[in-house]
Amino acid sequence: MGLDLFDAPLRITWTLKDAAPLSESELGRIAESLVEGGIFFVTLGGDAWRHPGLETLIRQLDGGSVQVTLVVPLCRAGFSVLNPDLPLTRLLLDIGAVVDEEGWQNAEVVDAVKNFRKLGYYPELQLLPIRGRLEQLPRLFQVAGEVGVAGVKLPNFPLVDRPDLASRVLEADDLESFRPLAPTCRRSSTDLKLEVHDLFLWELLCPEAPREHYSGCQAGNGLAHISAEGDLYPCSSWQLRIGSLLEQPLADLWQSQARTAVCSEIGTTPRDCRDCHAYEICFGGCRGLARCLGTSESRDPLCKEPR
Amino acid sequence: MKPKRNPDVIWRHEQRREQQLLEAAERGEDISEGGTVILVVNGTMHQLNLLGGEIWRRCDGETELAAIVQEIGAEYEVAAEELEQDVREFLVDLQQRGWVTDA
Ligand code: SF4
Repeated sequence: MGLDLFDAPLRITWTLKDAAPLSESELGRIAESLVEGGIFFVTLGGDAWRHPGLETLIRQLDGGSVQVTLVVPLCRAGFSVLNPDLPLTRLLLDIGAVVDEEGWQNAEVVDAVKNFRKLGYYPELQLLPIRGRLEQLPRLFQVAGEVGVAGVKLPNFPLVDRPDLASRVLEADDLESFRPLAPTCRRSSTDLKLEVHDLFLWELLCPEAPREHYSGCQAGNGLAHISAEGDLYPCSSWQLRIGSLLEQPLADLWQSQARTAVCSEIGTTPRDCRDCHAYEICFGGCRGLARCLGTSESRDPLCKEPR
Repeated sequence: MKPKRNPDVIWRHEQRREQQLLEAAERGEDISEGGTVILVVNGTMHQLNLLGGEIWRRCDGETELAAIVQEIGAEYEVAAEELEQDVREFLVDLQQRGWVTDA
């Protein structure tokens, strides 16, 4: 792996719930821990956009030099509750609920983006690429080009918060079925900043872009996740609870045996990858998915076979 | 010259990591590739080794190059003359990358 082990994560995803939410003071305590840890980037997802403590939380993180991304689902309420001058680095408009509806219209996405722009935000589009949605990717890229957003993000599968999605995580065969559609996506995405968590989907969408900057799965090293209960995980796909940020500071949890065991596991070549010539640029893919849907010896479930 | 970090560069001093590297150096291990400062520039991550990190942390726009050399030399018990060339070259590299300017 190219990078050393970090003192604290660089990026954190944090899911908030609006039902039985953490109180503002609990959010504040966790945020303080993140600021003290020197976290660079925090992405707030789930119901964060309508959490009563959202604005205070964003301002606290921003005041501590943490760059904040907010994920907002595409719905009419999304833009009407957002205060126009929040110090956000990035706003991601998640269009998952809309593309799951039959007969969805590009105009729904275009209008939502324009409404956010009136508030002074320039959202990018996000779609979780679960089974049943890959066929929608050409439309996603088409609408992204139509409305002129700067980027599109296809994030990782959030099994920590949504274990029910395990049966909809993509497999290698899903990617094979999608392969003929990938060039259409590429044609409409030439000017877009594309962020694709999954390496195998990335290869289909960006076959010309090398993986040389990829230094392996960053779960439990450069990356961590916080659940709506305030528990720390190696990443949003890896269902291993490291501990509660309401009970211990991030710095202590990061030095715990549970966290260092994750790094050791990632540093070990999985049995299923042992004869693969691509290991030096792949490192077994998404280790959280591999071990949560299989074992620590499994390949990334989107990988067809060793190369 | 008073080197000043570009405020668009996000960075962090990895203190625990630095401590581990210093211990490794005590044991005689080569630590030249080990990072003690993490930078993110336009979304790409970079790391600076021990000497690079020491220089970077002093690029506050107020400390003269000579003082940086002096301070680091004193900390690591190295003669300033031996260090000066390395520090200069490193700062030229950082300037060319646009990560520091002369305040
Ligand atoms: S077997 Fe698949 S997951 Fe494992 S290193 Fe090779 S390409 Fe990656």
